[in-house]
Amino acid sequence: MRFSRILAHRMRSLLGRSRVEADLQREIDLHIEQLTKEYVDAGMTQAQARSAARREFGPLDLTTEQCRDTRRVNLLEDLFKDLAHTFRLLARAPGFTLTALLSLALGIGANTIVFSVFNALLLKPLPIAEPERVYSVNRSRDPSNSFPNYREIRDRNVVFESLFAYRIAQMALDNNATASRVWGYLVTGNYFPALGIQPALGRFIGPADDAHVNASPYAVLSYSCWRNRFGGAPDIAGKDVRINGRLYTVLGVAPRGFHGTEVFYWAEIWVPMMMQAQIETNPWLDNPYDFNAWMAGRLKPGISAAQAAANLQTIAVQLARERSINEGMRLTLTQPGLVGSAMREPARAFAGGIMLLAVLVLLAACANLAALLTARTLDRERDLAIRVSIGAGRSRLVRQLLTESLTLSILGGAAGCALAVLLLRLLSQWRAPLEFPVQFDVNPDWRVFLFAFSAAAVTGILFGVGPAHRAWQADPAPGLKGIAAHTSGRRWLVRDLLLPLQVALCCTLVISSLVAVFGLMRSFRTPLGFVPDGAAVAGYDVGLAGYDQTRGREFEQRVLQEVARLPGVESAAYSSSVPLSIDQSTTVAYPEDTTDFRPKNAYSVTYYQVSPGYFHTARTRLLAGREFTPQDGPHAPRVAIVNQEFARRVVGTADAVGRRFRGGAENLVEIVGVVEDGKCQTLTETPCLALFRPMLQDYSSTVVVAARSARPESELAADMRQTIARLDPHLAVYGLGGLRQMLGLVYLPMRAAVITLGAFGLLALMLSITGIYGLSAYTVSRRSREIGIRMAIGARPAQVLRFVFGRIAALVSAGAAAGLALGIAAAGVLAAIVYQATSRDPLVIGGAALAIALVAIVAAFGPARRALRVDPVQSLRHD
Amino acid sequence: MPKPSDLLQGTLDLLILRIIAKEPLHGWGIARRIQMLSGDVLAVGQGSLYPALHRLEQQGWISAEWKDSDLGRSAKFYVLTREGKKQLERELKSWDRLSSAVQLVIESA
Repeated sequence: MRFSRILAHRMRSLLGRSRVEADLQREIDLHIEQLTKEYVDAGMTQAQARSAARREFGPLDLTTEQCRDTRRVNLLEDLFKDLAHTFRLLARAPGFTLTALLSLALGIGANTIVFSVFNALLLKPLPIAEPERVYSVNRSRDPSNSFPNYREIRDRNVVFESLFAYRIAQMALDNNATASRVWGYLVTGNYFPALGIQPALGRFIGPADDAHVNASPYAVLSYSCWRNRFGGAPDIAGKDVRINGRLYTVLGVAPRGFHGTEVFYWAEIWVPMMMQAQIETNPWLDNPYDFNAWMAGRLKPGISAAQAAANLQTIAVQLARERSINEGMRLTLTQPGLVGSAMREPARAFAGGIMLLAVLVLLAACANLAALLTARTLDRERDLAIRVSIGAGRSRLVRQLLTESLTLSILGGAAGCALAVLLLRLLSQWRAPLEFPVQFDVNPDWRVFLFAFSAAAVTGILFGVGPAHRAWQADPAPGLKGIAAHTSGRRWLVRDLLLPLQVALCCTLVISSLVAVFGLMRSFRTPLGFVPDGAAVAGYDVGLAGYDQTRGREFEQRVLQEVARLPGVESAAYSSSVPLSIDQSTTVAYPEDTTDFRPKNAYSVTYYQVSPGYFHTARTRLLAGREFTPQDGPHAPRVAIVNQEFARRVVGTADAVGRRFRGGAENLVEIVGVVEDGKCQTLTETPCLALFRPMLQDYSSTVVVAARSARPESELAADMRQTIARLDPHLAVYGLGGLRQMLGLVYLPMRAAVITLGAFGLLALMLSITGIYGLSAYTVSRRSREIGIRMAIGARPAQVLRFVFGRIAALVSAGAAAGLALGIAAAGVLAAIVYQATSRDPLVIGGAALAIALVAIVAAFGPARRALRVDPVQSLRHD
Repeated sequence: MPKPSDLLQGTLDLLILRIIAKEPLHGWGIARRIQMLSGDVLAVGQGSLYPALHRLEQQGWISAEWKDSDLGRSAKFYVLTREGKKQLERELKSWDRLSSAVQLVIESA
């Protein structure tokens, strides 16, 4: 009530300012009139009385000003005045304004984008009800556990309201026309109830739908699956779809924006866990040795994570006692969404590192603007001095200057934010060119906007404080005399540090990006142990289509024959998987003389089943021995081809042809060939041990067909798809395309790092250009009189340039030297992400130095030309 | 006639509120009333009266309207608001406390 009146009164004061002033005037007039009347009554003449009244009343202006002050509208009024003044100033110097806005927009935009990614990965909770009560249950670093263990933990714990299990699974989904491989989840019946979300259509899988092993044929579709694969049919709930050749009933559609319980794996379909054996080919629900089920759950209200962890640990100890496979099991809780803690740590490190770089860019922008603004304030010293001398309060001046810098930063921040929102929208729609549905929603939410606003405000204050500090100390006398303009002398000031600081930051970023780019280039040339270019691949799993081993083998033979006959195909082969793809299997191998088959004597080896001609097709060099032939069949002796590393480590000699190793006590295998070393799982791994076995001796239902030809890979891949579709139209074909393309996942972190660093490097370069340009242009315009005098008394152009730019060059060089050192140190950190990144590359250091030199020359070119064109007569007449 | 005493800091508000609590009054009237009631001991400097009135209006304790006055033309009359009445009570109480405390010190010293 009172506040509304106060507010109304203040608004009236502010808006009806002239009326309020007039009121006050009338009130005072009346008062003076009465005083006058009293004096007249006391016997004075009208004129005497009037002046006596005036005298008694005191200084009129002071009173009215005091009244105005009490009205408290001044803060607001001043703000409007300051803003108007600011806009006038900014409009008067469009070059400065644009430079400032551009650097701010870039700096804040970059930060907003990076923060959005950080937010999407680590801050934004899953789109479920009360996400703070949902936790992943990790066995070691990831949440995988055996299904029998899951059952025990689910039944014994007293802390979870609901504990569910889920499993990433691929399946062949047939919508009556074509079969396609889709990625989804196997989930226990309590999965959806625990998450507390509402379906967009129909209903979710409930406990009753997950009750019968192999007899719970139900499915829930994701929103986008429903829209894209079923045309958004409104009557989808209750319809049957074919999954892996069997009929499943669609129960409902998940809400838009819900993609499952992992942040960047976007599932399309959910199927009850009890259908596991039909979805995947190997049943593991009752197997305590297969750790395939991921576990998470919703805590009971009021139970803390620490209490829950304690309870889980008790159960872990019990389970370890009951089953030896569980020995040493530790159960811990983490936030869900990033494979327990397995990816949370790397994601945090990566996003945090990039965030740090982004902040560096923003700091560089700050330093840049602070330098420019300080320079401008020097120019305005006289203006400020005049204002101080006619009675402006210091705080008032500081307020004006801070208004200016904040206006700039908020405007720049808004522009940067708009830019970021656009780019983020694109990024959210982008799907990594991978077989695996990696995608994440980086669209900004309130956290991002709050961050952008705070970044802008902090930036504005940071770069506004320097000039404001000067204004605070402003002494009107020298400013008015025009002396201040020439005292910048030889003293080193804090503001002199701004330019080298910025150049150093820029240098660091440029080196980092160069290191990353060179590393990526090198990693593209690194020997992989096969030649991906020129090979097209297609994958399928006949197990998903219900083939048994005999039919599967027949089918694989026919596919191979047909593919080999395609036009232009030089060679073709198939294998269980290709190195560096996401699907890698490992097994163990023992030296031939092993008698103790405990795990400590075993070598873990990456394991492939391949057809005859595989090495020829993959262009893996055979160093000794022979390739597999059709004679290496099920009844022939067990043979294998190994890589050099395997030969050296397991057999003990590189000359391993004819020697034997064991896959187990009863499993003796002869080595018939040795191939070159290559990469198996990642590009940065230590040399891996690779074991190849003939597919004819060791069946795999998952197959990748590879064909090498001179034709474009995508064209050949399309032909291969047609060929397979002709042989079985219901078989889901995946992983279709060039082999190089299929390796996307291993290159993804590196590509991301290179793109980000490249962008930051460019940003930093642009900021450096504006920074150096700003300071040079300012120096030239400020010292044009001095330049004029020097030229008038006969200075040569080179002398003028040395005189004008000597100091700037020294500052830039100092910054560059510091930046180079810092960059080389920082690049060491990068080596962990970008394969073969090294900062000891002379190319990198030379490149960075060259880049900075070029930037400096480009930036200083305009001002230098202006300096040389200074007309002595004009410049001396000026001011 | 001795020179009127300066008003103790902060008591002006109290006096204004007290005077217009009886009836709405204009600035001139308030100044005169204070002088008269104090037996010409207290004189309100005009320089401080109007800022004080404005301040009280800002605080929402008094409101004003233009009305015909005894001075032969319309004047700005100030009237106590509900919050102003409460404020007056508060100020009276604190004045009592202050004056009795001062009295106590003077008597017992």
